[in-house]
Amino acid sequence: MSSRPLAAANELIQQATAELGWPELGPLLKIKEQPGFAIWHVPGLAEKSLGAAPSAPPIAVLGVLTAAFKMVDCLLDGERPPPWAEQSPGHLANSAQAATATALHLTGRLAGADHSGLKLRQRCEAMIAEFCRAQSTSVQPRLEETAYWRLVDDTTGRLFRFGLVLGADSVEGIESADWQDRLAPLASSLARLLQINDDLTDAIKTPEEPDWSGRSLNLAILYARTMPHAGRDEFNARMEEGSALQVSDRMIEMLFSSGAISFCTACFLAEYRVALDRLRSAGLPDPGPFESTFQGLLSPAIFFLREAAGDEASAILERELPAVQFERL
Amino acid sequence: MSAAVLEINDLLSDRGAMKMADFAEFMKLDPAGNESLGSALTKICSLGASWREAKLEWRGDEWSCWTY
Repeated sequence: MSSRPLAAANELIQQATAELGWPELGPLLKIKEQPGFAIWHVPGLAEKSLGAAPSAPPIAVLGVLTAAFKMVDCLLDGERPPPWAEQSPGHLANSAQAATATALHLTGRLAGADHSGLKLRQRCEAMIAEFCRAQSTSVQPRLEETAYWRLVDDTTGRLFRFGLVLGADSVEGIESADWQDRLAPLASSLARLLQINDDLTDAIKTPEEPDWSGRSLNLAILYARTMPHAGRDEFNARMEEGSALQVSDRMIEMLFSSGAISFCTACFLAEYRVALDRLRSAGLPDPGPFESTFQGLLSPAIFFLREAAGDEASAILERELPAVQFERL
Repeated sequence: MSAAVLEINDLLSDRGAMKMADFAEFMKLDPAGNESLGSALTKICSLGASWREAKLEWRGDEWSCWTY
């Protein structure tokens, strides 16, 4: 994505914090460019697939909401905040509240068709409340598959759905409400693909303490803890005694031998196919931006498949998924 | 579940997600964790719109994924 709308979005954020009387908050909420998929890309996916260029105001709203949710997530999970948000817990909670106010302020100023700023602000308020309610259940998560998918759909899925609404609403000359409905199922697909991608990365590539201590649900670890396999008792004993915090080669090996990584890969590929089915049903003028984003999110599972699957499978992957970067796990 | 052939659709829940317990049960057929499972799963990518009807099969020493 061009950096021009991102720069304009950051100006809007700075302006909004100044209007709210706390301009010093602006730099903390500034959206940083990063390689690969970022949540603030979501409104732009809707805009591009409907024939428009990404615009700054929806990027600003999604960027600030993401920052607010990330700050609260660190507090709930007991996770060290990222470098841009390193503060004491009290100050972090305070900044998260101000970020939420900034996101609502930015949303209320959006000028779409039929004075939609107010409607969008009401949708934003409802989404934030639903997200926070779901997030509160993640503190002591039940080790259940249904709880996992519900959490993904009710947090990231809702945020992405709102992002797609913002994107569709900013495109002029279309029946926005109709497109919002058509885009909604894609939000769930996007959220699930992103979550499995994150889980494989957090379990294997850069082991994350909240995932390995059981404070947040991780699909691969959930499988190894609950499904029948030869090493399950040992896996659970290591998780409970806390030795998993220094994630050993043995724990990683058990993720593979238990079938957990195969399961995540199968989930990934099934979700990818579901996503393509939904994309076809949506009938977007240009499905390309969604297709390449879905493929990009497959990267960790594809690495596993290429390692395990041999020449025939590698040829299929290169032919069918040209946008995938084959990133090493 | 004892059959060595399973339709991918039977592994999917109403919400489209792969069902963990059914997948784990089916994997018991292959206690050694055969690497050909990766190859079989890859074919999900290359199957057309009928991918849900594809069959995942354990052939005693390797996995296969096929469709009519």
